Amino acid sequence: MYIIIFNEKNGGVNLSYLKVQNLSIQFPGVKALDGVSFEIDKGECVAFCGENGAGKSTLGKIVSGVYTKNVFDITGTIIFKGEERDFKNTREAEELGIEMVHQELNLFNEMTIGENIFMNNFPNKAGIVNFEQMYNEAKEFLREMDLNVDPKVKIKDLTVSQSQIIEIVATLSRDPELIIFDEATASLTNKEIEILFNIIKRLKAEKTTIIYVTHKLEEIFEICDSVIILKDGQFVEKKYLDGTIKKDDIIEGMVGRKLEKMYPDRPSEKKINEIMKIMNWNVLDHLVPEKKLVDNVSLNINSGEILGLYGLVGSGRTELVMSIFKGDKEYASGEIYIDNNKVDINNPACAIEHGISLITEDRKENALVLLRSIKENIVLASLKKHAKYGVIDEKEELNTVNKYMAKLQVKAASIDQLVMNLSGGNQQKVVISKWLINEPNILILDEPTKGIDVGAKAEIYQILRELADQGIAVVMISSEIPEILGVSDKIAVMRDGEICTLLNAEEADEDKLIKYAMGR
Amino acid sequence: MILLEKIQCENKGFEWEKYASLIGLLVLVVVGIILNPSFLNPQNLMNILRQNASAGFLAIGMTFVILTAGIDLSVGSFLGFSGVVLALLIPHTGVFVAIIITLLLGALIGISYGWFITDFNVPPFIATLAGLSALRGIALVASRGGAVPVSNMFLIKMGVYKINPLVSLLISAVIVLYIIYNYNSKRNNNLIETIFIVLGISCFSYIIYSVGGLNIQVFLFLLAFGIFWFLLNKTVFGREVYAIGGNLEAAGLSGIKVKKDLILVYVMSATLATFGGILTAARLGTGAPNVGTGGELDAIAAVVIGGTSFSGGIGNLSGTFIGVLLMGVLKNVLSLYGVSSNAQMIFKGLIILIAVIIDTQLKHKNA
Repeated sequence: MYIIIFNEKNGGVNLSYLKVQNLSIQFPGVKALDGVSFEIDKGECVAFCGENGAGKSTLGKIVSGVYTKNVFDITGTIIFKGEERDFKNTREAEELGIEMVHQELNLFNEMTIGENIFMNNFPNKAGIVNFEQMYNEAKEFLREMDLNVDPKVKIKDLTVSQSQIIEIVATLSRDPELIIFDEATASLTNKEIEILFNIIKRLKAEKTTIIYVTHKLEEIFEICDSVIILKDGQFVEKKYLDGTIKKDDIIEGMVGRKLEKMYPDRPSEKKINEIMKIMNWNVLDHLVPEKKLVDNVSLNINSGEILGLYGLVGSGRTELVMSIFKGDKEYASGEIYIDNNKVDINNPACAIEHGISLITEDRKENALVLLRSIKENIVLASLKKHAKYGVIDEKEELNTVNKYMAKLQVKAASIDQLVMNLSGGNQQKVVISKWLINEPNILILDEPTKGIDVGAKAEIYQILRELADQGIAVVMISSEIPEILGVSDKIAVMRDGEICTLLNAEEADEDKLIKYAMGR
Repeated sequence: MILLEKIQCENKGFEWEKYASLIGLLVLVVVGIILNPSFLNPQNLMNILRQNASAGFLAIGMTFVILTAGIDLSVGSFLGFSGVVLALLIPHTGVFVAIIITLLLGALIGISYGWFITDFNVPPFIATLAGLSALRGIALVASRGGAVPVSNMFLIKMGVYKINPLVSLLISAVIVLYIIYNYNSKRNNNLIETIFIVLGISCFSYIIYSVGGLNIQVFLFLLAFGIFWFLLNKTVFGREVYAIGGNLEAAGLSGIKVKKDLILVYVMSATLATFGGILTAARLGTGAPNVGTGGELDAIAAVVIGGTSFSGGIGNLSGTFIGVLLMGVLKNVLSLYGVSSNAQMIFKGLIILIAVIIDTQLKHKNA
C-alpha cells in the first residue's frame, strides 16, 4: 500500500481525508486495537461495526483525541487532511473540526439547553454573557434541526432520549467537519431516531464526514455509504454498501463465522407453572407524586417461559420491575404473590431471598462496581453463599467465578481484571453471571442487550432460553421489536403505565406491538 | 475463561505505583540516617511506633470510612474527649468499667453519625465536622480546660508495659513461618512483598530484642491492624465496604444492606478513635482535653499516602500502615534534626502533596 497525500495542488485528490495507519493501543491486559489501517474520504458516511471489544469506540476515541499518546500506550499514525496528527487532547481535535458524540451524556443537568449548546463559546462582551442573544441563536439553531423545544428548559427536565438529541445538537453547533457518533441511537426512541437520521442526512448533504459506530445493522443500511468491520481489535475489511452487500455479509465479517441463527428455537413442549403474581401494582413519580408511572398493573409470571415486556421508553416498564425489586414502599403499592403466598418485599436483599434476580438497564450506573475486579463483581450478590461465619471461602469463590466465566464465555485477561476495562458485552456477561449464581426462580432483565453486538446478543438469547427450559421464569424488558418477537413466548405491552395487552408469541407481529405501544 | 494476552499482562514488570509509598518510606529512612545516625537507635525506632500507635488506630478506622467514600473529621477530637471522660470516670467506677463505658460512648456517637448520614442524608463531612467541634467542646468543658490526672496503676501500665522479648520474638517467628508457608502453598503470591514483610518483621524483632521487650501500645496497634486487615480483605463485610464505595447504587441492588454497613463503618471509626484516646491517656498519664488536635488530618494523610482513593472503592490497609509509619518517621527525623514542631507542619504538607501527586500520576499511566 502506498500513501497518497492529500494536497490542494494535486487536483484535490480526496482519498485519505482521514488515514489511519497501523494503529494500536494497549490497555492493561488487553490490546484493544492491533495494527488497524484504513482510509476515509471526505463526505463519506462510514459505519464502524464489530463485536463487543472489537475496538470500535476505542478507535473513535483515539481519532477524536480522547485517548492520547502521552497517557496511553498508542502506536501508529493518524493522518488527517494530509498531515500527521498527534492530538494532545480533545480540544486540539475540535480545533480541526473533529468531534465525537459519546455514548454517555456529557451535559450539565442543572443548566438550560441553550447554555449547554453554547458551553464552549457563550456569546459575551468582556466576559458578560448576553443571554438574550444566546437563547435566540439557540432557538434558531434548534429550529434548523427541526426541534421544537424551548432552549430555556433545563436538561434535568428532559427524558434521556431528548437529552441525547441535545447532546448531538450541541456538538453540531460547533460546526464539525468530521463527526463520530458512538452508539448514538442506543437510548433513543423511534421518534428521536428519526430526528437523528434527518440530521445525519442533512450533514451528508453538507459534505460532513461521518463515522457511525453502532451495533444496529439496519441503521447502517439506512444512512451509511460504507462499513469498516473490526474484530478483536483488528481491521477485517471495508465494504461499500452498493446494494450487493447484505446484513449477513457484515455479520460474517464481525464474528468471523456465519451466524447460524439469531434466536434460539422455542421448545416444542414446555412445563409452565404460575410462579409469581403481581396484583394492582401502582408506582408514583418521586418528583411529581400525583403522577402515576405504573397504573394498576396486574401480571402473572410463569416459570419455564420467557415473558417479553415491550413498550416505549417511559411507558413504566423499568419503574414496574425496579419498584418491586427495591421494595419501594413509599411510592409503590400493590400485592405480590410467589407460589401463591403473599410476600412482602422490603429491599433488594429480601427480593433475592424470594428468588428474584433483577438485571438492571444501566449496567455502569447500577449493576457494576467498575473500579473492582471481575471476581469481586461476580460474587457481589452472593457473598453470603461463599462465606462461613462472614469469612469468605476463597476456594469456593474461585470455583464459582471460574465456572461462570467459562459458562458465559467472559473474555478477560484474568479474573482480577477491573470491570471498567471490559467491553460492554463482557460487562453484561459479568452482570448476568452475578445474578445466575443466586439460582433465581424469577429472572428479570431490563434491556439486556443494550449496546451489545450481534454475536453476544445471540449468546445471551441462547442463555435465556436455556434458563427458561430449566424452569426459570424469565422476564425480558426490551425496546427492540425483533428481539421481543424472536425471544419471547408471551409478550406484554405497556403504555402510559398500564399493561394494555398480553399476546402469545404466535399472534404477535411488529405492527401489532407498535399499535398497542403507541395507542393507535 | 478465555485468556487474552496473558503474556503481556505478566510482562508489565515492576508495579511502581503499588510500592510508591513504601519506597518513599525507605527514602525517608535513609535521609533520616544521613541527617542523624542516632535515628537508627532501636530505642528511637521503638519510640516512633509507640508515639504513633494511637494515630494508627485513627488511621485504621479512617481507611474504612474513606473506602466507603465518606470521611470522619472527628477522630482527633475523640482522642481528647475519650481521655477526659476516662480520667473523670475512673475515680467513680474503677478502671475497667470506665474503659467499657468510654468505648460504649464512642460507639454510640458512631451510631449517631451513621444515623444522621443514612437517615437524614447529612453528608459525612458535615456530620463529623459537627462531632469535631462538639466533642472537643465537651472535653474542654468537662475538664474545665485543664488536664485530668490519672493515677490508676493499670492504666499507667498500659502506657509503659513491655511484653517479654522472648514472647514477642516467638510471635514474630510464628508469623514469619506462616507467611513463608503461605507463599509456598498459594498461587499468585508476590515474592517482593513476601521478602519485604519477612525482612520487616526480622528488623522489628531485632528492635524488640534490643530495647528489652515489645511496648504494649505497639502490640495493641499491630494486633488491631491484623484484625482489621483480615476484616477488610477476607470477610463479606470487607467486600461490601469496597462495593459501597465503588458504586453505592449497584451495592444496594445487589442485596447489600448499605445502611447497616455504613453505620457499622462509622461505629468502627469512632470506637477505634476512642480506644486510641484511651491509649493516649495511658501514655501521657492524664486525660488532656486538647490532645489530638489535628489528629484527623494526620489520619487522613496516612490513608491517602497509603494509596486509598478519596472517592472510595480503592485502597487497602497495608498502604495505610505504611502511611502511618511514614508520617511518624517524618516527624521523628525532623525532630532529631532540630526542626521545630511548627516548621514540621510545612514538611508534612509537602509530603502529603508529593505522595498524592506521585500516586495519581502512576495510576493515570495505567488507567
